[in-house]
Amino acid sequence: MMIRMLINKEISGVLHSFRFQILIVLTMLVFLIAGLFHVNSYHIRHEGDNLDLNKQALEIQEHATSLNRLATLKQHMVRKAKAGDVISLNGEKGLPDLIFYNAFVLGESGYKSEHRSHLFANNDLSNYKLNQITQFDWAFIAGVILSFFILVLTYDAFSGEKQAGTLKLQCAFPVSRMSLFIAKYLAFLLIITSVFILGIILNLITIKLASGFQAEIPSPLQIGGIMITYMIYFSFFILLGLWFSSKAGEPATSLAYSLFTWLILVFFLPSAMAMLAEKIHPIPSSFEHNQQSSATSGQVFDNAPPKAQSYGPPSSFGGKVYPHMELRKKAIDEMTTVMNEFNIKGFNDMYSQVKLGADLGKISPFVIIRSISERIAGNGLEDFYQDFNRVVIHRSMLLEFIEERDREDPESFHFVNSWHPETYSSAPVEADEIPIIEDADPKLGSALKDSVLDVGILIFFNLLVLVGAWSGFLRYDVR
Amino acid sequence: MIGEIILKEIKLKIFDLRFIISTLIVLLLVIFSVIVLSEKYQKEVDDYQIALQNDKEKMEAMVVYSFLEPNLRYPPNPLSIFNTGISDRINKTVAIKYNSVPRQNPEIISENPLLKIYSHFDLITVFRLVLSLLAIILIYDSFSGEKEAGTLKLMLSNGVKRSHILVAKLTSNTIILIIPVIFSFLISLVIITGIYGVAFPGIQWIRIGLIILYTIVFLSFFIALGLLVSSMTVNSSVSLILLTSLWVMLCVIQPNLGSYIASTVINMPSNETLETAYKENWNEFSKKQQEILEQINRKIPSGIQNGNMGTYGDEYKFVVFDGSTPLLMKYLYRVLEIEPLRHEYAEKEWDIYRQMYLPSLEKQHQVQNYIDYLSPAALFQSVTASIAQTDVTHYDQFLNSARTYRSTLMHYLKNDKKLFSENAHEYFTNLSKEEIENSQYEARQRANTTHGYFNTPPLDLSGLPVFSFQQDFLSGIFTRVFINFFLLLVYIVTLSMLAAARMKKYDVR
Repeated sequence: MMIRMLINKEISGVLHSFRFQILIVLTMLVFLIAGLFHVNSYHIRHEGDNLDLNKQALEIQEHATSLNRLATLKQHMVRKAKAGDVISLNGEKGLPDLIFYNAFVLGESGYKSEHRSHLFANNDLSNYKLNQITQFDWAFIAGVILSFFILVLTYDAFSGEKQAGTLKLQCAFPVSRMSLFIAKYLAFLLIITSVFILGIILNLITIKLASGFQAEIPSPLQIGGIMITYMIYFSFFILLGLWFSSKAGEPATSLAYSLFTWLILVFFLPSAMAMLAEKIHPIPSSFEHNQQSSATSGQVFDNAPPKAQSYGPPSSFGGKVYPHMELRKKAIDEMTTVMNEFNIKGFNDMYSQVKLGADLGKISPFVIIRSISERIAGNGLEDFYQDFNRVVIHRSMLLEFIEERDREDPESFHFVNSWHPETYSSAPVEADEIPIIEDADPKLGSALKDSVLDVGILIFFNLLVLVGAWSGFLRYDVR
Repeated sequence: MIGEIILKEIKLKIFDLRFIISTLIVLLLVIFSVIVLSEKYQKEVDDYQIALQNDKEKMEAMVVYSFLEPNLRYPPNPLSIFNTGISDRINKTVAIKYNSVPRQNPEIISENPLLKIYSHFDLITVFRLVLSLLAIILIYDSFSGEKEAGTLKLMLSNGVKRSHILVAKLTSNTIILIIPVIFSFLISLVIITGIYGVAFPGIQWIRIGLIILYTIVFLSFFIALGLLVSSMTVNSSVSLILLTSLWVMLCVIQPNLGSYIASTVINMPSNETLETAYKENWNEFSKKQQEILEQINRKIPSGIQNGNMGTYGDEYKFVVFDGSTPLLMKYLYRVLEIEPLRHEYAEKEWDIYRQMYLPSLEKQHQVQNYIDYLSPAALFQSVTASIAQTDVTHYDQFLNSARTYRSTLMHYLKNDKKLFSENAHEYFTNLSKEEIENSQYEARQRANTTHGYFNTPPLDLSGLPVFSFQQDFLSGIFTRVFINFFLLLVYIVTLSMLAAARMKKYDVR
């Protein structure tokens, strides 16, 4: 009973304060602006995706007229705009949109690019003259702006009451310190969560209205997942604010310290840890990587029997079979395998470096909540990693399909390889029989399962600040 | 009198624990950032040197002119440690090709493109966020606090002019803030030059000085803002709340708006439109090329076309080390009739880019700049980038000089080398003109002494024009930076005037 009264008192106290009014106006404004911008950027991305997909479908249809042309057609996987982008886009925006491959190799084949990044490209030409900006997604608004506001709301929770003398009064009454603490904590948590919910609703309404009910929005399950995990995140900052408030004698000092802590957690650590990861986990440069890759694959070919290394047209041997083609195909296949292994290794190098940065960054709750948001939204680094692996699988499926069709063609020489299209089938195939890359359906359950560790760390951080705040408050001298 | 107040303020604040601890935090952040950023710069320099070496080796091994493709490299800039600016998202290597005019190339070239998921980060960002926050924490209670304590009343009743108090507060707090700024820069410079051995040429020191100056001006904006808010509020906690909210708006939200609005308001042509236009251009070329090839086939003498030849990547990069006369003649005609056409179509492609794409790029940039005029933090970021020469303008200068170099090179090859007229054979072979007309290939083949890659001497490229990137001198900065700098000063003066007006109305009772 007593706690409820205390909570009510706290809530009404906060709701009527001047600062809360400023904060709620600002938050709603940001959510509104974010909604408007999201509609525009989603529209542009969505259109770009469709153009890319249509172009690809047309190309596949054109090349389906002969099997060997289809095999060497450069395909790309498009990373589409998703409804979840409104939840978290900052990670996704930094990632490439297209992953290239054909039936034989990953990435762009040939001399064209000397760079390891030839595996990817961006499908939108972003203007290099514009400043690089932060996307106003939920992860940013809640993770950066709301956490800041929490600290501004809580910085004088104890020290302010001490100055005003109300803390003395409360403690003089038969109210346990514990209930006083819990009441404050719950009141703040309730208020911030409601602000967040209100903001999300405003954001989604804006998106729906501004897009003429065209744009997709995240599913209720996704939103629910976000709510729960963000409550844990907010709770961390509330406890942090209470801790600083109970430690410092003067409210302004407690605000100064908590804001600096916030700056470090939210702005400094994420980028700094990525740069640290670059330092402690260096990866071979593109130049070294390519040199190694071409040297190794070249050696594989050089080690092949000399007969495999020369190539002549069938006509010079009476038009029957290509001479020593069996040996040659084997050598080419081995070489292609080596190149693919290098491509995968190159990707894994890049991924593991960034992953290390993300893992190191998890000493900051903001990085944790960002990674949880990406999992729930179904985009970002982990999703990219999975997409790449889907491309790897699709490539081998494509090759299997080509080989299978080649076996059915009586006119073919049956030497499916990446160098000589004339040595295997050029029969037409039905375009709709060609295996396509399926859209991965985002499973919220698995997203949450993958986030268990992250949530665990977040709860651990909560406990850490709880201990600090609680012990600080217990030792708080009321006189 | 002003002097006394200034001294009092400085003494009061400088030994304040809050100030000391905040300064220490700032310095720690700066040290960490500088180390990480210097490491990054060092790696950039190493990669640059390796790349230059490779370019040189490639040029020295060049056997025919068709392979000529000089790489121009945007040199790493040590001031990017202070402001990364544009350098993270541009292509720093421009290849001069026969079939395209240099421009910003959207191809991903970074060593690890996935790392881009983290926002960019440099010393100016640290200063923008941390020092401005420090400024607010220093200043928020300068009037409201004195009102609460009653010292303002005392001062005013002692006959101190209100404007003097204001000027004294502005000056003293700026002076106090100079301490962490100077320390940050000193530590950064000691680490950069001392530990990492980066040498700044003389003119760069002036740039660093300007960056320090601008940092101080930027911070005094927040002091003026703080004074205004503080003079408007009775309660220092209200003043603190207002200032921190304003800080979030000004430093975290507003700098993003310019780019956001620009890209929303002004549409760019899609990648698709641009590529279709390019494709049409080159399809037209291919058609003409086909016609010419047919004519050539009719012209060349009959006989077996064979020889040691090869292509490398693009179709214009062909080489004939040795071959029969018909083959050599075929390629000679190709150089004479098709290659000049290709250059023409390269120019056409550039025209498409310039007319379809570049204007919207420029327009978006302009809109962003106009909106950024309203944001001190965005101004701070862009002005320091201009000073450090890591801004768009500087990169565009690089692209411009790359284009100039390409036309100089083409002019040299066409008019001095006569590569597409009299000396066309040099484009694709090492054989002399006489040999082309009367090739002894068959004889050599029988004797097993044909020319190939390994017995073809490299070209003598000593006469080739050398690329020089004409960098803007310091004077260029002033014209570019002046408006922005002036604007920030206007903001500061306006805020101070408003604060003075508020002060006048203050009732001492």
